[in-house]
Amino acid sequence: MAEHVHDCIVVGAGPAGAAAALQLARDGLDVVVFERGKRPGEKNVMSGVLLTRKLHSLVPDFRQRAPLQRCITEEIICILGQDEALRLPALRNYRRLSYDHQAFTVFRSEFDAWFAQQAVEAGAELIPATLVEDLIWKNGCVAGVHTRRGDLRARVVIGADGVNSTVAEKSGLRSPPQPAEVSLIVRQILDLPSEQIEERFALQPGEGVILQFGGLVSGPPPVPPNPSTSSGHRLGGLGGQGAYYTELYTNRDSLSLTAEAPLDVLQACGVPAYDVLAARERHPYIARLIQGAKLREYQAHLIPWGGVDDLSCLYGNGVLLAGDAGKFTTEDGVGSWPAMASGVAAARAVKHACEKGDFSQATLAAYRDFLDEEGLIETQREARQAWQHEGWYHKIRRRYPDHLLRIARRYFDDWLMEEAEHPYSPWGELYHGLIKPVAPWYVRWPLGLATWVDTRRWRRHQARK
Amino acid sequence: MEAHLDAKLATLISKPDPEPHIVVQAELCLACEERPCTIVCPANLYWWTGDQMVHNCEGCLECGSCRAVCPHGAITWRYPRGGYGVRYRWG
Repeated sequence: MAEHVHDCIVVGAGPAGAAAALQLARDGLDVVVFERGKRPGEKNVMSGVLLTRKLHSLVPDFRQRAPLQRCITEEIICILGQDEALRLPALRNYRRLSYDHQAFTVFRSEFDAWFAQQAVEAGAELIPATLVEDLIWKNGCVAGVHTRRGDLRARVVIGADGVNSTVAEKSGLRSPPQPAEVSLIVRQILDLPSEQIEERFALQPGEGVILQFGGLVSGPPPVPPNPSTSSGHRLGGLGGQGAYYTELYTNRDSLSLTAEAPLDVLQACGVPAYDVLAARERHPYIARLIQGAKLREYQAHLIPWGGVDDLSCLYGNGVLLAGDAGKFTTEDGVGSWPAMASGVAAARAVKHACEKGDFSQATLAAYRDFLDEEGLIETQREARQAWQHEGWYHKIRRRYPDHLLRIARRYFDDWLMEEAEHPYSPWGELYHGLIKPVAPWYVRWPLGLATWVDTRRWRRHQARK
Repeated sequence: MEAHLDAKLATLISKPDPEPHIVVQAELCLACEERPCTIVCPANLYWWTGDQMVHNCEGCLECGSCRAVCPHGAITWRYPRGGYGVRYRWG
């Protein structure tokens, strides 16, 4: 008897895999999803916010049914100094509660399980606790997957197995991630009763905030850079300091505190990510917000960023890559909606190939068009651009916190500063700190001149006093 | 509040794969000067004793950082088999 050949195998039941399976099942195709966890979501970590742009079109009534924590109504950006914090203007928008495309904090362990269940209800078959270890080839075309529990054949395989994708590597489409292309995120969940969260952040039940923290974290002197590794020349000597993103999110009855940095930055700084997180916990601004909270869980994950160089590495003979496996993240590292959108695009490409009866790379190239419809080609391009300019961004991120804090100190008349010698007038400080490092020459020259005049006048004024 | 790394790791539920999912060719580590794995591993599973590299497979958070940073390709890392490894309850 001939072995049964499924229409499609999806590897990984995260947002990309589940979205692909849901779409395929709705299109009436015979689809099998493999998940290495006992339950979808138990291996997955993200910083904490789900953007529901794509989810809304897949499951319009998700707000009533999905396990959501809090709807984000405010984003706050803070620059942290050694023992001070500068809160930048933030917008709290209560209308967001009535938007179609809200942002929610979710626990992936709950959300992914629910989302995969939607695919199962639509007719997909889910095989949990099974690791896909290799691909089966037939005439130079991927024809199935190999697991410890047996082989399974399909006409096409969608690799949605995350950043360390087995499908991407075994199919030869992509090599394992390089340190400059991924960032490590460490996260801890802190228990805090919901009434206390609502009191501390001035929220109503169901509302939530994101706090993003910038600023430098100091560490021990770094290992001398080795010119043979990419970190050596890409970012230059970091002097034991690195700019890390730290974020704090509100869940229903807990907080998530995360620290994130590209692996090559971590490596060059020589500070382990958990030390960064601990340093952030100790910062007085954060310490007061998380006071009394009890540690519930500690997590770590890699997040791909910077997009792919060449989109043709996203599809091969009988194989497609979606989600983190295809590096679908925005330039800010948001991966939730691009994962779902790329899953849907992959599902459409598979349907297109099934109609044609051909699963070669040439037919699956229709994936490009479907990605374009979802706006993901643009996302990939933007992410790539941001990644290529990373050295420059990094310089800015390292310098800006100091400048901003200095300007803020003058602006808010910190009494410690009264004695200090100032090289520039208050306006001059603004120009030299913020505008000069980034502006092109035609902005720099006139403003530089104005600053010089202003500083002279200011000096004369000071001298008269 | 501020828990030490061991206390943080103690919050996790993990079922180690009897077939080790990390294999290190320790002889390659002898020539390594930077040893980035000892810095980036978020569970601190790699450490340098002064004359050799020691690692532990239990308690791995399955992020894959060690494999990505290893400059000599000494670390063979794969996912633990299905049903094994870390289980995040609040991922």
